[in-house]
Amino acid sequence: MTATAALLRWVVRLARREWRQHLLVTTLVAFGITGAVVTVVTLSHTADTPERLTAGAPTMVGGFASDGDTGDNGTGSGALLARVEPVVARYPEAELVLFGPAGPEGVALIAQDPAKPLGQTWLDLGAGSWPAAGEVTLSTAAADRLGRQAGAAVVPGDTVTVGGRPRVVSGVYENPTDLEASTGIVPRAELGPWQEVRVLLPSIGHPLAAELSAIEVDGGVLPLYEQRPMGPDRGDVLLAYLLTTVLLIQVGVLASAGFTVLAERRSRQLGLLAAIGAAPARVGSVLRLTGFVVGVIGGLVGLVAGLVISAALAPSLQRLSGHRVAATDVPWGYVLPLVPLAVATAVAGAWWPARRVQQISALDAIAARRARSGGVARSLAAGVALVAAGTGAMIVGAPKNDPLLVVAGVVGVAAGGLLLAPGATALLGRVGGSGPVPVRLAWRDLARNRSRSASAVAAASVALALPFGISSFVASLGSTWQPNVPPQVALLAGPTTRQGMPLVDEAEAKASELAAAVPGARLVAVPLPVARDSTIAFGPEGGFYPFQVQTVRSSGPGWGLSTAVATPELLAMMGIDPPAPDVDVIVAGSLRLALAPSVTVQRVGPQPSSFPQVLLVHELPGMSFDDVVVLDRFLVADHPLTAEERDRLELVGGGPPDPTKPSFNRSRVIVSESPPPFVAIRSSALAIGSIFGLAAVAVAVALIRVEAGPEGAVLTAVGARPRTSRLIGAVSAAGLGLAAGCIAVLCTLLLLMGVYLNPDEEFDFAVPWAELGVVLLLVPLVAAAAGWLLTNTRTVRPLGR
Amino acid sequence: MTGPVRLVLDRVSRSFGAGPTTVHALREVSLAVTAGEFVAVMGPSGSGKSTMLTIAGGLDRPTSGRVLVDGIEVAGLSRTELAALRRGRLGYVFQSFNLLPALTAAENVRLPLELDGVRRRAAHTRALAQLEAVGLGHRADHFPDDLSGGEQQRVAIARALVAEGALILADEPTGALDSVNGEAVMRSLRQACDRGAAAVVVTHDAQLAAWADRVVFLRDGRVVDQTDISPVVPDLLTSGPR
Repeated sequence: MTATAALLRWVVRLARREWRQHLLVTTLVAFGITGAVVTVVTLSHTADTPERLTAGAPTMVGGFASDGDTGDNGTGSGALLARVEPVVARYPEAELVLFGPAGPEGVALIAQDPAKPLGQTWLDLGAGSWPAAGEVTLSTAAADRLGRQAGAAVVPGDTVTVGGRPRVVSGVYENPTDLEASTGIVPRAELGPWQEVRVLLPSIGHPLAAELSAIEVDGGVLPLYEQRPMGPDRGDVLLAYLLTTVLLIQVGVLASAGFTVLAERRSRQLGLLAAIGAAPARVGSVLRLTGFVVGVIGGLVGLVAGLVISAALAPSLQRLSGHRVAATDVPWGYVLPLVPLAVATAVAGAWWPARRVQQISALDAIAARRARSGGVARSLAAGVALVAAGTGAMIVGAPKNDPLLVVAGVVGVAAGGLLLAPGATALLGRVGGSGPVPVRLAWRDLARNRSRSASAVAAASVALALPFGISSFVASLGSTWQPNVPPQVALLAGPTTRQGMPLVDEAEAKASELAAAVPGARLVAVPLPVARDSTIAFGPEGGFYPFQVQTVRSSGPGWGLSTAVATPELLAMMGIDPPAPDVDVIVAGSLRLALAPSVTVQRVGPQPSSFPQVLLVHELPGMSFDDVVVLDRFLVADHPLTAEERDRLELVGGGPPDPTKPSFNRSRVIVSESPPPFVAIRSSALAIGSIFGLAAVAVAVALIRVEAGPEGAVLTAVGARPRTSRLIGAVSAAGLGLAAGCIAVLCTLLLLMGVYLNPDEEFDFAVPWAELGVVLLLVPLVAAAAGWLLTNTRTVRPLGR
Repeated sequence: MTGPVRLVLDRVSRSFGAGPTTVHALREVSLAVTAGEFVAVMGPSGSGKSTMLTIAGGLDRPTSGRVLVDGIEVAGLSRTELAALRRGRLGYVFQSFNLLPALTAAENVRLPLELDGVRRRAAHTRALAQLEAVGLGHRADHFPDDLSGGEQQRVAIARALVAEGALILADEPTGALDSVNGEAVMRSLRQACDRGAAAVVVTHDAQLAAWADRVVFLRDGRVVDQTDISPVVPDLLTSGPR
């Protein structure tokens, strides 16, 4: 105990003397934890899961949808509601909520009793009051929307037309679980047509649930479902922790470099400690204890900083997530474990330097003789072996989609990559040995100070690898990306019943209506042959489910692809030449399909994603061209659709609600979407990675150059020009950046094999030239420029004694 | 000594700080060193020996007075010109931290030449010759960590001598060495001077100072055994740089 106290005292005094060094490492740890806290909080808030809609809501049992029958004719959903409502009324704690359709003004009406407690998580009255007869209480999103349409803000007391009639705005509320919900609360009697009924219950075991379950619907029972409030989605938190781990690995290896410098600067004192009888383990524990203290301080500072930043980001997160995010809304269960993680990172960072300190002889330490860097052969051999084994596992496992082998491959390549760092710095020393003086000095110095430069290379390669991988993957994705439809084409789908059953006649009528909205447009039908053996009837006119071809996946079930008849019009629109007489099926892209070997397949290039991916030229077993339905049509204009035409199509497609018709009697109009922001994603990923990578390099160069004072004196004395020092700084930084970039590129490309070799992925490898340029050229160049600018060139006076 | 004058210090003063706390490290020191001359500078700690050496080498600027190296007035030189002067005409030897640990002995010796643009092969030949001259030709490819303290100092001397017509400025070059190695270093310096170099060596050891042609004593920033500068100095100062 006394010895530990003495050691602790020594650690504190060491910290006071080497406060800059400690500050650097503590800042690193704090920075890592800040990033981790912000990542965890952000991802937990922006998780786009169904649960967020009920965040904070009670357990509830759901209801049913309307089939268009809003009256009590004894058979439809109207009749069902008439049976359910009195049952619910017997339980005061239960609530019945009716959701109406969205009108042309874009506001959906809801009949809900605001006084009841269970549904209150959806209701937060901001201004005015809840509605009385002839009134509506608008959500903030609805008020904004109507305000935009009217050209003036909508406030309580105004009269607006929603749900087909003018109503007085009684108040404005917010739905904390869905800020974008454009809704209005109206009295039950004034709702009009409704789409969906929900029954809210305090728990799934409530007796009402049993009663509802007993109600028969179309020969079955009322479908019930349970929604309960959940915390952040585990997948997102897992992702957050994965990113945190990457960040902390980087921090850990950099902290290790910092502790190495600390140990070297204080090697004499540590030697004295050993000389007066301290056991090697005790000498090493000085650094480990330092690591612990640094971890605790860095972790707590990082936690506080992360929470402050998260609170500041709350408004932005709220906009991003679409639900209310309070500044105090912190997932403590996921955030607090980051502090011990910080301590573990710092202690792990101190472990290797501590081990080296334990091994240094007391005599050498007292004489201030530097401990020589160990050989690189072992780590290099281990690194190469791990990378090779990981690559092998990937090559074998990826084509079979074997998760065990793929994960083993990822771990092998990643760990092997880190172990390559000392070898890379040694290689730099070798290569630099035959270069000009600044290169020779800089790169040999990196090789000599391997314990810290290799850490920096490892940290920078980790920082670069992840964004390089994301960016390269996105580059591949972008190179094979297809639009949903070309700009001059719109896909007209539907309408369908609420259950998704197509309404064939309505679809045809709606398509003609839509075609008339665009001058010069023509319609190209997508005829779907129906499966002979299917027993699933659809549509009021009957018929059978469209014939589907199954895809093949190496693991898990494939999915069914609706197949269209390859009519000349459809082929012409898709730009496909008429098939040869012996072709049975035309398949777009590299889809793997479960087809009999006798079926002749013609492959064509990737097609827009909303185009049919499988076209039948001849009949196949199990389907007939005699029974063909047309559910979808392409509207083909002779010009790219203008914004006005798109709006018009969407308006005509949606149409005004007709109380006599099912409210969902609308066509979906799919027009060409803007391509995903591939370039933005790639540049952001690379920029973030480069910043982190360069930060790691900067820390390493700072650590190395801080030790280079005496060498600077020698250089000055032998007549080196002022720019020589700058050159050495620049070349050091460039060398570190280059080594890190090479390792990051090598390992990431090997890791991406796991994706590219996966037979279920439908995109090919594209050489990520821009990414390679950034990681292998730009990052070293920027590092060199920073090294040049930051290197101190003032004359260093020689040290006489 | 009647060779060309390598170094002139003309009434050089150097003070640090201001007001009542001003420290006068050097007070009106004058000194001239000619080619082939070996000058030892002795004096107690704080007498200004090292300050004099750094000013002589252009690493520090005097508060007043003039410094000429090979007739070139140091005060008027830019940092780049000063660096060129050090590469071509000056050689430094310190008590420690003499060599760059990342370079071999030969690379350390040829460093000033390479920095001066001499081709690597030619620089290497000259470096090897200098290493031979200090008896370390066989250690040319060794890194400093592999050399003893004495050997490191002799490599530093070889580096100081590698430039043509060098003026060697050595600050306690034997301070960290045993007597045998100390003698070897002084012998190397003596031999260098015999070959035409000039050397100014700061030392505490009177026995080692015996290797010098002249011993200059400093105390409280003043030269106490030499009150007049060399007779050649006034001529040199009036004729300007060569």
